[in-house]
Amino acid sequence: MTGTDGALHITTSSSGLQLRGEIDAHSVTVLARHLDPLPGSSGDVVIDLSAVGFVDSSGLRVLVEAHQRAQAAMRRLVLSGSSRPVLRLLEISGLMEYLNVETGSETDRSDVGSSADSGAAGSGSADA
Amino acid sequence: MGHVAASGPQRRSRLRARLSIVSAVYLLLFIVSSVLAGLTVRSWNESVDERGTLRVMRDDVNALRLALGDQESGVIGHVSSGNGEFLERYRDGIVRETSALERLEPKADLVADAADDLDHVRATARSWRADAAEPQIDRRQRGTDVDPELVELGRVRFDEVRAALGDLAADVNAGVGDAEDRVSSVGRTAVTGMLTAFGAALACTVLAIWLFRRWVTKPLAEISGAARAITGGQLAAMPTFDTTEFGDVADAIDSMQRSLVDERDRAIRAYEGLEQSAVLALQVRSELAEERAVTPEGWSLATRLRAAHGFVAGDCYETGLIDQYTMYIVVIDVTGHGAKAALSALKAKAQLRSALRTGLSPGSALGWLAQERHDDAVDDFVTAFIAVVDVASGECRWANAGHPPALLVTDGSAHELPHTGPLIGPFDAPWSTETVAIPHGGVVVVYTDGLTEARGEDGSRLGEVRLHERLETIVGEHIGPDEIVESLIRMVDEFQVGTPTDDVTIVALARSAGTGRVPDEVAGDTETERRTTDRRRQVRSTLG
Repeated sequence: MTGTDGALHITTSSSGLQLRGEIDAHSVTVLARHLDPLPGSSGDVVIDLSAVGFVDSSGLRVLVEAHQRAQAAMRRLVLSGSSRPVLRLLEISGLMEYLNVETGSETDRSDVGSSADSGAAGSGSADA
Repeated sequence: MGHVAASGPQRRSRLRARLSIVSAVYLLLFIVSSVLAGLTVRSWNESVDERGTLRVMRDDVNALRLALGDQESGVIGHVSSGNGEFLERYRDGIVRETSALERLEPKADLVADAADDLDHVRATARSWRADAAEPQIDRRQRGTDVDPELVELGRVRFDEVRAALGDLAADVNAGVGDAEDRVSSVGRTAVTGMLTAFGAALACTVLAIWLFRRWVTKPLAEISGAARAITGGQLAAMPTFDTTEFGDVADAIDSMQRSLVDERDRAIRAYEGLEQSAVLALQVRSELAEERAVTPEGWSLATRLRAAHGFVAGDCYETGLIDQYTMYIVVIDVTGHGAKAALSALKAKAQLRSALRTGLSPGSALGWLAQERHDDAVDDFVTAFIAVVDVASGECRWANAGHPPALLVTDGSAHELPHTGPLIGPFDAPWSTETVAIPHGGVVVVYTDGLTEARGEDGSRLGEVRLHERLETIVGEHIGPDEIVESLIRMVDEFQVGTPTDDVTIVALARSAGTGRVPDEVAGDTETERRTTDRRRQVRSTLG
């Protein structure tokens, strides 16, 4: 099954969703519909974000709420293949360590985490 | 059914007409089957009757044979014994022969050559009686001996009779055989016809069911599906039908749907109007964007909040003084827009102000806000940036809850003040407080994501890189915070295509360039010095 809203294309599979386009205030309602209830009945819910160039705060909210529903159902919501802008949003929001983020082959999760740490450390040293 | 498939201007045809055609085809099939069945039954009856007649004829031929046989045995018996009973049998045989011939005569036409055969039998029998039988009986009754020549003649003549009888029997039997063949042939035809009619009826029924599904059941399902979609609040495109009846129903539902959507849109507009006026009132009170105190000497401040939907904002900020030495900046972004988000942001702002005034560090204030919102069961997500600045020393303690990093721009380079904890709402988390020194000539710029997420041509976003570059350029030119905010707003306007979809908030706090030495130290204000030292100690303890 596929759904389209403006610039977001959603492909559903038994294990999750494959998204293409942008998740913003216009397209987020259709994404919310695809995530409530969660796809599949058990196991990981994988949201493939590799073809998503932009996520805004409303999109982030829908993903976080789906993450919480998955946790309540003893499942895991995995954000896979996030592009650089999406990773940056997750990092800015301070959610990297709270969500299950699987990055693409170029960077893995610990890299992104340490770069965020070094940013904080950098500002700290500027203070000293 | 050619006209059903026909397209063009006469796209629709009446369902009733189609169903009438199907019924007519059914009726025609029924009539043809009935006529064929009637003809078959009649043909069957006729052939069975003929077969019966021929069987009777065969019996009559046998009776004729017996009658002639009795005549012969009667003559022979009478001549040899003189017994009258034999003569009686002879006479009786003649009577029965006549009777059998009378019965056979009218049916002779049914079998080829039967009439000739009958004539031949009658002629040979007559000749036998005249030439041999009667003379023998006559001599016997007169007491004269019957000479063997006459007996021999009788045998010869009767053999002729027997031969004629054989021909007749053979022809009649052949006729019976033919009749039986005809009966079974008609039977086969009848069975074939019945099977054909049954097959045709079955095919027509299947066709009728298929057409009924296509013309009636399927359109009904499509209409009810579309109607359900409307009930679900979606705009559903009505399926097109090629029958007028369903076309009319679809048109009716379609216009009903349009009027529903119009009504809904009117209601939404009315609601938006109310919402706008409610938030207008809030805006008049300037609560979303608030500068609560005169900026202390040595510092300058510029702020801007531009809401995306008229006056409806999920952004808000506040600047003010905690005491005469300490300034604070709070910038908040609540997920969503409209009156609800604005009220939620206002409440969060008031809570943070209270927390800061009771002496909580920025990080602890965020933790307290998160707890308060959790207790109030508020489900919005909030990002927030808090800075508490010591006016005298330029020491800035800050915390960031998932908010876009504020920027400290000094000497033409921008340093990020990134998150010290996640955004507030979904997760139970600690928010730490960090410290950074704002040097003379330094500027702290706090903004919301509406700035960097402004959408340009070809769908690109303004982004952090452009913001950093712009800030590094203009802060190097030693311009004031007003010009900085103006420049950033201009950058958004130039970049953005179409109407803004998110609020944009910018707060710029600049420390005056000074003389290269810290003015407070020049003033030698020991009171300020001591307070700053205390504060530093307190900050370290907060950070653990």
